[in-house]
Amino acid sequence: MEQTPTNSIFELEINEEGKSQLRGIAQWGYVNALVSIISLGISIVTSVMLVSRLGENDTSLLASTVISTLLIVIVSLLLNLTLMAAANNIKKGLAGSDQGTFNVGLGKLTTYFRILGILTIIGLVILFLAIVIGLLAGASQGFK
Amino acid sequence: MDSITRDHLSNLDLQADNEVKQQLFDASKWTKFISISAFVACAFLVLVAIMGGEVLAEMAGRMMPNEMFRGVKVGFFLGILVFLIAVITFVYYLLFNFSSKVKRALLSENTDLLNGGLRSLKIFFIISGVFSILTLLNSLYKLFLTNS
Repeated sequence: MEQTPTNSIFELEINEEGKSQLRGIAQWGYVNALVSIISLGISIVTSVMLVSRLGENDTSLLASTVISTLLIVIVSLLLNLTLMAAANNIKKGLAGSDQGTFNVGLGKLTTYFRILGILTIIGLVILFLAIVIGLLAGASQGFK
Repeated sequence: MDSITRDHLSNLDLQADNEVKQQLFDASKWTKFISISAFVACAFLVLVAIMGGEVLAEMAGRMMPNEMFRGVKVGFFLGILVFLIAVITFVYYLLFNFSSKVKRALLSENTDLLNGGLRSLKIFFIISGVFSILTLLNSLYKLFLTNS
């Protein structure tokens, strides 16, 4: 049976060191999110430039580039905006000793890890399918 | 009078209330899952590198646009791959450390363990930040290459 945190009357303390670590997490989380969003913007510009150079005969390549770029944009924005919101709320909560804002920030950080976890599950499923398909293709050709 | 005011102010400070504990507990569950998945993926990559190192080195030589990667030696390629896997494993070990320390801190109400876990998460974000900056530089380089 899995253990869950106890609702003890002796509250777990967030002391000065804990606050300092949380401040660092918020600062670097914000840097991570901001740099990733800028990087995403540059990648979009590069993709658009590459797509504009494709000829009319490359429709399948064009479609796959557009679809993959769109997927990356949606997932990356969702992740990084959540991380940015988490960082901002944690920073504000710590600066103003505002318990509500701080809780919202931690909630957003948990959501960020939840999204990452779900993406990991999707990645694992795709990897598993790729291995199965690869093995089936190899078996059909007698592993030559 | 001064000490009374200070005590009153400290009562208004942030607490690890039940909501905070639940959020940290959920975060520790997901980070544990993510880090263990990363360890499995790294082990899988090591296996692939050992079993198909030559094929991978050949593919890398063909795929890399830079001349210096053409005709790359298998040993050199495997060295880089192993180094990258070691770095990735270390980064996800930090996430695993955060997960296990925070979970133990919540169960035993131990502030030192909580601080240790938060420190691991901070280092995880610092290293991820450095990687993000490197990715940004790579994107700028690609944009420059596309323009020229």
